[in-house]
Amino acid sequence: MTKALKDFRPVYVVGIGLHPYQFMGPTPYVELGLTAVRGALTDAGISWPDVESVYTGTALIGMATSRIMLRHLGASGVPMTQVENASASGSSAVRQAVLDVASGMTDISLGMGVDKPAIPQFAPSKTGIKNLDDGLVEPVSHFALLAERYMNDFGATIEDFARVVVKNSANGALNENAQKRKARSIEDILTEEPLSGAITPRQCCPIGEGAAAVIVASEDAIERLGIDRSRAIRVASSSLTSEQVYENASNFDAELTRVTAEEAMADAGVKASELDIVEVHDAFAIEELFYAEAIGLAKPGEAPAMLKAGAFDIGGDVAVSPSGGLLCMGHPIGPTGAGQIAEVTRQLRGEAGPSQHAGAKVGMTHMVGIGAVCAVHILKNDN
Amino acid sequence: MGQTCSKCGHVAFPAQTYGCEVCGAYGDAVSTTLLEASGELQSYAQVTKHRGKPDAPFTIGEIRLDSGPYVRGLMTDTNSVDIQIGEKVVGVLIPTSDQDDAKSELRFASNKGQQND
Repeated sequence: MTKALKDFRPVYVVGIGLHPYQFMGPTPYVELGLTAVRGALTDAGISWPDVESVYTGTALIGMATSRIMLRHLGASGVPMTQVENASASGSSAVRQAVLDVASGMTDISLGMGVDKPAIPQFAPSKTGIKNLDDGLVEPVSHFALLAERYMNDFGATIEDFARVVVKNSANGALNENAQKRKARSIEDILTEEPLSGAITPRQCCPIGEGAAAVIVASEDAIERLGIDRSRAIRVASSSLTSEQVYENASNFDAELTRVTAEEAMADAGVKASELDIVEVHDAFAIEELFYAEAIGLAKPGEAPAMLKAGAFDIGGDVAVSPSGGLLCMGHPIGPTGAGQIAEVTRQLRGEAGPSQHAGAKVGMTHMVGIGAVCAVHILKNDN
Repeated sequence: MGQTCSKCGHVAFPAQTYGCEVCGAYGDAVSTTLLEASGELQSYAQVTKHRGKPDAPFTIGEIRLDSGPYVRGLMTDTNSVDIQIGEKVVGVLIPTSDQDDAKSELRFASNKGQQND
């Protein structure tokens, strides 16, 4: 019989580290990655030889990323694997590390992500299947279509999309790891020339570079290595699903999110109303509204009103993307999902400084990778 | 051209020979079928910036074909003010602008007061 994460031994996030996300520059990926991993080791208070398996989420660097980068920590012989799952690469890498510890194969594992901007190789364009929309619908137009439908169905306006940018840019301004740190006003978005439909440039996330590292451990390892238990955050569930054929839903990203989030919440024994922190895949501002509804933070069509009322602010009912989200913290692809888990961990430890959502105990991370796949993790502070 | 699965009845677009996305049937169980280029407009987007061809501006429509599948394609009208979500649209063949290529391309147009062969 198949099992969920809760049926195995508990797994805790014990160390997090980031190289701030930034616009493309001369920094080699090796330096980005090492900065994040050394940060996570220091945060956990452990040393590199304690790590028993490594998964590196990366989509753009190329073959053989892990060992070429991580040998500079001391070539310990630890098993290493690259994980490519489009935008969900980092989430999937952390998931593999979690599964290693849960199963008992390892006591301490590292899931990380690192990337630098590059022209991606897209498998969907190599299938040999000719379609009517080949080369026609870039991601921005995909979301412009969904945005137009959403406006039609629920009376939402471009101001509603702009409010997502206003909130997340204010959050990003407080986050020293964020790529975009300037708070924006509604007018900043309304005065922009659209790219496609209602989508303007500041409603789109920046693609940059950076790295994020998450060290997970068993209770045995916490005991043996004297890791600070009060800062350990339990991984309550880890769900990864792929898109099915939704005969009556053209917004497959939202439907996929609904299915995956439901599974993750059921496994963790958590209701949407109990979430304090949610980091969503807001590569485009409209996505935050779709996914807030798909996860169950808002009823269909009601996310704009909740956003406007401040329900998704830091200090609101549930802080949505207090890191600044993909929109402002950035979306360097490989690191993004691992970075979400690091950011939620900071919040649940109460260590998020000016971004802190008071009393945060339960958090969710959510990434969609083209194809499509969806990864959702739920983290809990049991202390 | 679309595809029909004789095992589960799923109708898909575009046609491909790899297998049915719903039930996994392949080979003789899936066959290509002509799908009527008519359906209901689900959404549209006027694209003002675009990398590569076609040159912007142009308007993309998402259409649910009467036979079931969702398709996305160019609308005949590059100015989206005249189209409405929920209206019936039909496919029309438009000569391509490329003079060296005597082909035509399928676009979608509003079906109100307009008949096409």
